[in-house]
Amino acid sequence: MLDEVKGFWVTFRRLFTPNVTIQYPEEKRQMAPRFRGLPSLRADPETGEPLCVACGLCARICPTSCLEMTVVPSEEGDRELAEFILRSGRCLFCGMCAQVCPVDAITMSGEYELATLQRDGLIYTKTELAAIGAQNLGWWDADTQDAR
Amino acid sequence: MVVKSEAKLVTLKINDQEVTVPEGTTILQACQTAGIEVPNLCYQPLLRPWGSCRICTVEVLGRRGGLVESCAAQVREGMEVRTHSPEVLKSRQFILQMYLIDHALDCPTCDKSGECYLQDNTYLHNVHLNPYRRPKLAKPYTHLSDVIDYKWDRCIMCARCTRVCDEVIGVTAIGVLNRGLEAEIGPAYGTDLREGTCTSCGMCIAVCPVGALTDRRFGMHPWELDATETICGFCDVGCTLNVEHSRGIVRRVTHLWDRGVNHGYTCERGKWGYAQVQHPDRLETAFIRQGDEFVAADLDDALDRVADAFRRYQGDQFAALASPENTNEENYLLQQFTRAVMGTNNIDRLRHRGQSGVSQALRDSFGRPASTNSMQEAFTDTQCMLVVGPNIGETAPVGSYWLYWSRNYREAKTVVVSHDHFPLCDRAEVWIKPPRGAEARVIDAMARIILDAGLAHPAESASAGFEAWRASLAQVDPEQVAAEVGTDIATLRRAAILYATGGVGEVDGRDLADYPASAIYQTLGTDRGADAHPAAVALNNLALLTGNVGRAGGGVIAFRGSANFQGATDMGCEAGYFPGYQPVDDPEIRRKFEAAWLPRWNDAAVPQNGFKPLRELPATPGLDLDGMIAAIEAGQIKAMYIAASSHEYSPGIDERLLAVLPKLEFLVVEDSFPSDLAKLAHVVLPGAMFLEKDGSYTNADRTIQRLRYTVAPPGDAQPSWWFLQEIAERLGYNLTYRHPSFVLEEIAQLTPIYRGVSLPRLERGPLQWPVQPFGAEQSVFLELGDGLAPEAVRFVAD
Repeated sequence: MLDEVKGFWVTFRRLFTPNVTIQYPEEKRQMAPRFRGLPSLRADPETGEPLCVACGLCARICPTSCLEMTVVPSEEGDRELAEFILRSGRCLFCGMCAQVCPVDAITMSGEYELATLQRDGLIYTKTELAAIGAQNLGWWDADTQDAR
Repeated sequence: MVVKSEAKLVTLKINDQEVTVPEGTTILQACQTAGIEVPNLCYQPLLRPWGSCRICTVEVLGRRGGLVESCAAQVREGMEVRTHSPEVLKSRQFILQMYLIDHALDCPTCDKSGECYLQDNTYLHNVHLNPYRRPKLAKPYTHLSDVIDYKWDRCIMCARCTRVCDEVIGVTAIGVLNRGLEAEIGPAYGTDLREGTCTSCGMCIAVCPVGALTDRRFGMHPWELDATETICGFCDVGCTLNVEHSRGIVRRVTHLWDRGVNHGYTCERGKWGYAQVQHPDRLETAFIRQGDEFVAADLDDALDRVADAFRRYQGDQFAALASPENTNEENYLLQQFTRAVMGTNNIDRLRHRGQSGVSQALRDSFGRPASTNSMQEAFTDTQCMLVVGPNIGETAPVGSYWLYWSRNYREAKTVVVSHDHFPLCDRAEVWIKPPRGAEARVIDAMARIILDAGLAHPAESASAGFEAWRASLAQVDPEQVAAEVGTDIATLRRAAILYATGGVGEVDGRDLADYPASAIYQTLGTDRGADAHPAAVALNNLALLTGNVGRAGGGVIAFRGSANFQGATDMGCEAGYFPGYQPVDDPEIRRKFEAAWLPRWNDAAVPQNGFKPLRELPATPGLDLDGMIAAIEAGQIKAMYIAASSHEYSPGIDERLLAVLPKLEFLVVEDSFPSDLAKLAHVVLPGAMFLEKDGSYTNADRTIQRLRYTVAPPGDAQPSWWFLQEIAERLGYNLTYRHPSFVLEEIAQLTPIYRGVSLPRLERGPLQWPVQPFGAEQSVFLELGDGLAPEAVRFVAD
């Protein structure tokens, strides 16, 4: 009889301690600033111009060759992206592309909710990646930290 | 090298290794011979040393001592050179640090990244820190033209671009503007390059060691590209192109400095002409005419239709015209098809008046419609060049580069007789500008002056017809001719004496045979409407008169415009000749070809509609192009197969032919673009272009070179040899070569001048016909008695 009371007491105490359950999807875990989510393309915060200079280094260094880019000469004389494809089915989320980018145009966003019903949904194009990049601010965008 | 001279040899030590080289070699070249790599940024093969980059510094030990630039210093007997001593490496690092002060940190976005000499050298010499840093000066991109960009920040002022443009291309479109830190490359007065003399050849981009001058049409990295070496199909210089492609699309054309007749150099068409091959308007399917409409058809259906129709036209009712841009193998198959399947000798090439006139003139004078010498001799033997005809900088640009080069580096003299004004005219010793069509008068006047000056010395074995021709010159009065063409007698005399004395310019009493050689470069065959025969014959006579035929550095080089015009002629696409200029009316020769071709008829070929397997080849020469036009008009020729390639640079089809073609009952046109010719066809077959097939081309100076398949033809397009094989098989004739190399093997067996030629042998490099056996010395020019039959060489009075 005493054992039952002890057990119930533990349960009763637990009624008043905080929950550790995170009620996903209404609540989401706060990821570390260095968390590596889906690679995304950033734009300049002030002008909105895409930062990517189409150098091709991210595509070259990717261990699984999941990045494909088509580059065309731009009007000014340098290069611009015609097309940028990320096959996230192959992506390791290793972050090498972000590490090698000379202008920090491709970064690991915090995006991890990547489940899709069809395999085509795993292929991301330039516009989609740019949209993700616009939503997910990096840890270095300090003045917008409060928004998080 | 054709000239053999006694070179004095010098022995020196490079990095304690003994090297022996001819006197006059620079240390850099000696290192290259020994296989030691010395970095260089401003050195360019074929140009003189410049010495601005200073990175080729080496250390010379001993009395002379110290650091010298190896690109300019000549070797001396007993010299001791160190190319990688600590002193040298330190000086190279310093030089690189200097370059990197203002050099934009653009590597990720720079087109040159991956193939940049500055990048390579910086890594190689471990330049990690730069103590000379300061805020960088920068300027934005300058668009020099619609295809060339210039970025000042990356430029290291090696001036390779300006030197190439000035000394080899000859147009001096760009130069160094301002001086000192302000120095930049650009055209005079900042105009767009297209408005100046720039020919958009792209050589400035090619020689730039860094990414200062870039190709605006190109935006990839070199590591993504595959490269295939092939031959350009846009003119009969036959340049070797390094075509770089990825994912089946050509991205750019680059340069192989030690390959081919062009030594890596290109012109606008070679550099950017791939856009024609990849053009969206290319024909991708076969078409069958139904009424007034063209309906896209399956290849099999179209070929069935062609075979069914041809079955009704065996014999002289049929005629074929070969494309002078198809390969030798394809043209050989077309004439084999015409003769052995369709049973007629009515075969010719698509050609215009200029090409016809020049070919005929060469045949009349030398026995064969081919140039007697080659462009390579401009590097070694030619001391005077007589350039006649329309602007050679447009018709055979790379051929013109050696004219500028030898003027600069061998002090060769140029005489230009042309109605066009182009940069060579201003650099020539003499420029005569006759009205169009009057070139023959000028040349005859020059011949008269040479005769009167006592400078004539035709070779003994090549004097047939001399007296008759000399008599015909009696009425030529040089003073009158000079007045007619708007020049004075002194200029005309100077032109004649320069040519006759191999550039010496005066009669100095030496033996006539001791004057240096003079070559004739003529582009009369590229003028569509011209009657080129009189002027071409006059030039041949001039070469014979001065003993320049059968001599290294002399002779006549005739450019006729289309990439394989010479090859098409060699392959027997002529009414009266089998391949190799063997006449069809010679029974022995006919038997040889019958033995090779007729066994291909198979037993399944059922005689029908009068069509039957042939037991012998037609014995009488057929109709040439002019004869065909008349015969179509008269209704004697009812069916034709015409192979053409109507891209932007093609000279166009003879209007007289287009006018009579509607009279045909059945016309098959194989073309690569929708054209006026294709519109007249009953069946249109989509043809592949030069980047899309294997085979061989023969250029204007008889050089046979190998084409390589680079990219796939669009849609259903196929090379000509495939179409012919399919049609022949449907008619019961087994043309079953698996690949053009087997066709070339057969050609080599049946054609004496092509004996020894095969695609594997062409892998090593070009061959010139007549080809010598292995081990024998190959001559680049036709010699009297070998290559030029003495009885065929004659003076022709027009």
